[in-house]
Amino acid sequence: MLVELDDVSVVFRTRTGLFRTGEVRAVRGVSLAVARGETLALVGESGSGKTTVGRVSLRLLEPTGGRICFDGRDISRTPEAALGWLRQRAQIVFQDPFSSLNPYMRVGELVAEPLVIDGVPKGERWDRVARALAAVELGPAARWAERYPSAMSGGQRQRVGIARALVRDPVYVVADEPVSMIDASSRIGILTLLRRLQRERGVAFLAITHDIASARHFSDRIAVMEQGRVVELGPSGAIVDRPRHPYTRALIAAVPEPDPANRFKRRAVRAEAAPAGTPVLDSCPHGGDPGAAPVLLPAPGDPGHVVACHR
Amino acid sequence: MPPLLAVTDLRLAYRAEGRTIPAVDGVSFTIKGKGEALGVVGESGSGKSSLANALIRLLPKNSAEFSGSIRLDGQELTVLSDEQFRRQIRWRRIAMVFQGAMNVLNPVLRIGDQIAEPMLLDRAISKRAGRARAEELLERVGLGAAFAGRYPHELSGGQKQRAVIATALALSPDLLILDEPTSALDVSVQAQIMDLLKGLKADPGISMIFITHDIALASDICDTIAVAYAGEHVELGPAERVLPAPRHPYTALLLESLPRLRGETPPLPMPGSPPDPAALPHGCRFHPRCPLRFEACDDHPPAIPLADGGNARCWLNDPAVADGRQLVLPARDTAARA
Ligand SMILES: Nc1ncnc2c1ncn2[C@@H]1O[C@H](COP(=O)(O)OP(=O)(O)OP(=O)(O)O)[C@@H](O)[C@H]1O
Ligand code: SF4
Ligand SMILES: [Mg+2]
Repeated sequence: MLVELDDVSVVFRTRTGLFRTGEVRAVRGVSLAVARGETLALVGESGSGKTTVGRVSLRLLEPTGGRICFDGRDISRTPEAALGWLRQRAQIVFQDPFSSLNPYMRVGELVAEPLVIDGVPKGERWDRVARALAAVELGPAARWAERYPSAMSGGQRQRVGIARALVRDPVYVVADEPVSMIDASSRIGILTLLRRLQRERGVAFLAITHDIASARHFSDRIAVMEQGRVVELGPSGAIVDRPRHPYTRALIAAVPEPDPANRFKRRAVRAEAAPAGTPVLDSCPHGGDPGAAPVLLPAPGDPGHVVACHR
Repeated sequence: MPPLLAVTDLRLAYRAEGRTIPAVDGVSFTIKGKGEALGVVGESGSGKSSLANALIRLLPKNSAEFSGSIRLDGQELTVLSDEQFRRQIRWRRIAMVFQGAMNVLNPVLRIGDQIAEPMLLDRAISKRAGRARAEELLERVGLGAAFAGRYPHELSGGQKQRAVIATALALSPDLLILDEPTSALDVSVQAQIMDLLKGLKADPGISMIFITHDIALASDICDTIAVAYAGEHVELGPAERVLPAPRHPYTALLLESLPRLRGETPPLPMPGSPPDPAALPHGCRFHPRCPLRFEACDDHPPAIPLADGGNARCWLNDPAVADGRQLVLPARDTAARA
């Protein structure tokens, strides 16, 4: 496995008033692994802890508990100064084209910036920039390099963001897709591009999204997160076709399908309809105890598919 | 009885940097009556918001041409003065939820006061009655009266959008225009807002124009679908027909780009990129991206009527021109397949 999270938790301290502080347990005992060249989709509602898992997997955050390994090396507590090698090999793409690019820099400068930071000699830079722009289908590179993000569409800006990550030739990329104003159709163009890069360059992706329908088509496996926990994990087709967890079922029901018959139906399903403690599997060892932390157990008859034993 | 809304040959153009941008270019449609929803679907820049702005007459300063006919219950609205339109139509008969509105709620004003504001400005109502009405509306949108005292930062995205919808309902409009009402929300919250809108459509029977770039989402509530491309509506028809049997290649490609929940068929990206709005292609505006273009496409296609009462701006629908050609998209290969 390229990236391994073992029982990772992240607790944020917050100020709730002048003298009071609170705790937000953003990630609670998450174990996940991303294989070399694999796309693992992390799906869930906003606030479920997906982005925090992505950031902690890159050690942009230090975990409160648990262990993180990258390529077999334990990086859980490694100080930032000793993480230079990881910063070259692992990247994050924020897919928010409206805020993540400096509007005063040309595309060529934006994509070259990581190389400048890495101290890559000037003579080598342009070649790599041109290759990264070609990989995201912004060609001819020489023309695109001269343009400013302000004069580009949302989809084109997203491609620039991806080129910036690719220019370092990473082996692991976290692609965080917030709910965004980008067109449904240009979004599919971006997802198709990422899938191609994964296939052609063997890049491993952690794809963060709230949309389980796209995850089905653009990832190998899906991990479903609810309130800081992974509640279901397995091959993409199995998760969508044979969901076991009420939360996964609610996410699937929320997907608008192109079927006009839906206009006569209410679609929002509340996972909370199954209260905490409700067993999901007959094999749940906790006998419906809402206080016990759920464990991931194999879904019977579905290889590679695991689900939280109870809610 | 005249239809609730009949729009004929509506045009709105902007002037920018010495160039003319035909944002709404000869658009026609009708909404027959109560509780009917029209979906306007199309990619960014296709003129969806411009259509909404034209209907509620909030035009940008650089608007150059504004023409055509808008009839509400048979009354021609384009002949009204701005003052008459403001007093009789906007918010009272036609209300709107603006694109991104939930992010521009006034941060220092309590939700209840924001909802009551249009009623008070209208001097239609006393302060106390305004507050009571705000609470009633908050109940209606599923928030509960207690939300009246909260500030926007105390609300989640979905709750803010409900508050914005309550504001638009303040003066009991017949027609509600919703511009991308859920695109900043995640799918779960989106489904809840859609359920709320379906409820308002059924009771009290509010008619809607629902604007989105997502044709699947439009089909979740709309009876009729209009597909916008480069300022025109290139296809119009009942959702029951448009989704299974589109009559314009652009609509067919939009449907191919949808990630389906069931089955292994991967979504395919839309080919090409949108045209420069100030230098639209000659002939059929979609021809540079159309996999089915043929000689006739050098001429601009009219809105060709279809048997279901809708129309499509594609020569393939005119048998005399199509000469046996069918609307069948060629098979494509994809990175997502395999
Ligand atoms: N005030 C303006 N001045 C000049 N051009 C404008 C103005 N507002 C919009 N446009 C242009 O008019 C065309 C239609 O824009 P409009 O905002 O109506 O599209 P839209 O379909 O709502 O797009 P989106 O999905 O991004 O909201 C676009 O080419 C846009 O750039
Ligand atoms: S008129 Fe021609 S170019 Fe235009 S959509 Fe039809 S086939 Fe394609
Ligand atoms: Mg718009």
